[in-house]
Formats: sequence, structure tokens, C-alpha cells
Amino acid sequence: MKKLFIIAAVMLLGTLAKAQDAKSIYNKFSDEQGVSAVYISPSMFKLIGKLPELEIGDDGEKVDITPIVKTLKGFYMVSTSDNRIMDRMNSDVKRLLGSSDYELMMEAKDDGETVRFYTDGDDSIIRSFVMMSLNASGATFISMDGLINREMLEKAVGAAMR
Amino acid sequence: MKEMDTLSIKELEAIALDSSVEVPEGFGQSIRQGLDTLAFLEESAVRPRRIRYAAGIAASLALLVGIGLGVNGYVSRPKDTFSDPQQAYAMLEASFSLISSKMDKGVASVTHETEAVLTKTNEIIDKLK
Repeated sequence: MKKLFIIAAVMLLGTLAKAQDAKSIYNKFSDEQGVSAVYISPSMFKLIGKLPELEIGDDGEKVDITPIVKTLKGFYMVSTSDNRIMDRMNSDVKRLLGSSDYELMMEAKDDGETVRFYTDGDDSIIRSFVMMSLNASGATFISMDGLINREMLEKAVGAAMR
Repeated sequence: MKEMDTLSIKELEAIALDSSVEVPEGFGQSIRQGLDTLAFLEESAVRPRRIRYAAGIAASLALLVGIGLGVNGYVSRPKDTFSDPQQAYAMLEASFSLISSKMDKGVASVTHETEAVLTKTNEIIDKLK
């Protein structure tokens, strides 16, 4: 009897334990003053996928990102220059990254700015991509969820550099 | 044993009180063991029912919590920032550019540092020559 109640309690705790995610970060900060926030839903991505010429890059080398857009399930961006909000946002993002299977892909520190890129996935598929940029003047959090082909994303990002 | 069914309670009591009837050795212990076994069997029959009852409560609670969380998730779904897919795509494109520029900065700083290390190393090698 005791074992059964312990198992039931653990199952309930599992359902109740609401892990931090990009949506909760967006919901928490998007309505605050001094915050710019963008959310693109899966439905909107379906509409975007129907647009013609979804290409990134210059005339020399363009990359069609339609295959990426069709796999995206959510896009969240939260940006602020308010120091107090920045600190809170930074700690929430750290909690998100610590509680999930995110792997640090790259960290860059330059001119007082720290930018970190994280991915959750395997060698071929990225389930979630996070960028967190922090400097004295502001912080920007970007998160993309879906089943993104890693090679395609790298090509798109590379093309956007040019 | 068949006769016991035909006898009345009083007649059975009279037989029980009759001291001339010999009780076999160990009979009392057998009776006690039988009663203990009977009590255990009765309890075992009740236990599965209790387990089923508790499991039902636990399952119901888990279902209610799950439904509650599901509704909460649906209710807390944010609203699209853009109603026009063209604008949404423009934002996506701008975000890709931002990500690229940040990554480019990172790669450039690594390249810069690597070059600085290589330059320093070459200077040391030249001095040693």
C-alpha cells in the first residue's frame, strides 16, 4: 500500500514539476515595460512556408530556408535594455539551460559582450536552438524549436553572414 | 459430519459438553491453525480490493492533474506577434542575420586570438634561432 502511494506521489510530482522552457520565459517577460518580444507560432510557420522565395544570403549564394521553416514549431525572442529585467531573464535562461539537455555550441566574448549558443538534439537534428546575448546595454534571448536539420541551419546561418 | 446437519443446536451443545467423548490429540491446535488460515485468506481477499481502490484514486488524481496542466498549457499559449506571414518572415530573416553576426564575431575573435598566439609563437621561434 505504502509503495503504491509513493509511486503515485512521484508520478504526480512528475506531472506537476513544470520545467522552465522558452515559452515560460516569453510569457514571463513579454508584457513587462522595457521589453521587446516576438513570438511566431507553428500555425504562422505553416503560412510562412507557403510564401514564395524564402531565401537568405546575397545574390552570390542564397540558401532556401523553406525546409527549415516547415520544421519550426515555435520562435521566441525577448530583448531588453533594463538592467533589472536583464538579470532576472539571465537567471531564468540559465535555469532553462541547466534543467534540459542543452549543449553549449559556442561562446563568444568580445568588447564586454557575451554571446552563447546552445542546441538540444543530435548530430543531424536540432530540436531546440537558443542564443543568449548579454552586454552592458542589453540582453537578447532567441529560441527556436522544431526538428531542424543541423546542416541546413548551418548553411542558412552561414549565408546570412554574407 | 452429515449427522451434524440434522442435529439441532441444543443437541450439538450436549455432545460438546459430554466429557466421555475423547478429543483427539492436537485437535485444538488444528482448529486454531484452521482459523488462522481462514483469517489470512479473508484478509488476502480484501487486500487486492484495497489496492485496486487506491490505484483507482491515484489514477484519477493523475488524470485530473494531467487535464489541468493541459488546459493550463492551452490557456497560456502566447498570441502571434504578427498577423501577416510576410512580416513574420522578415523578423525571422532579421533574427538569422543577428545570429550570424554574433557567430561571426565569435569566430573572428577566435581567429584573432589564434593569430595572436601564432604570431607570438613565431617570434619566440625566431629569437631562438
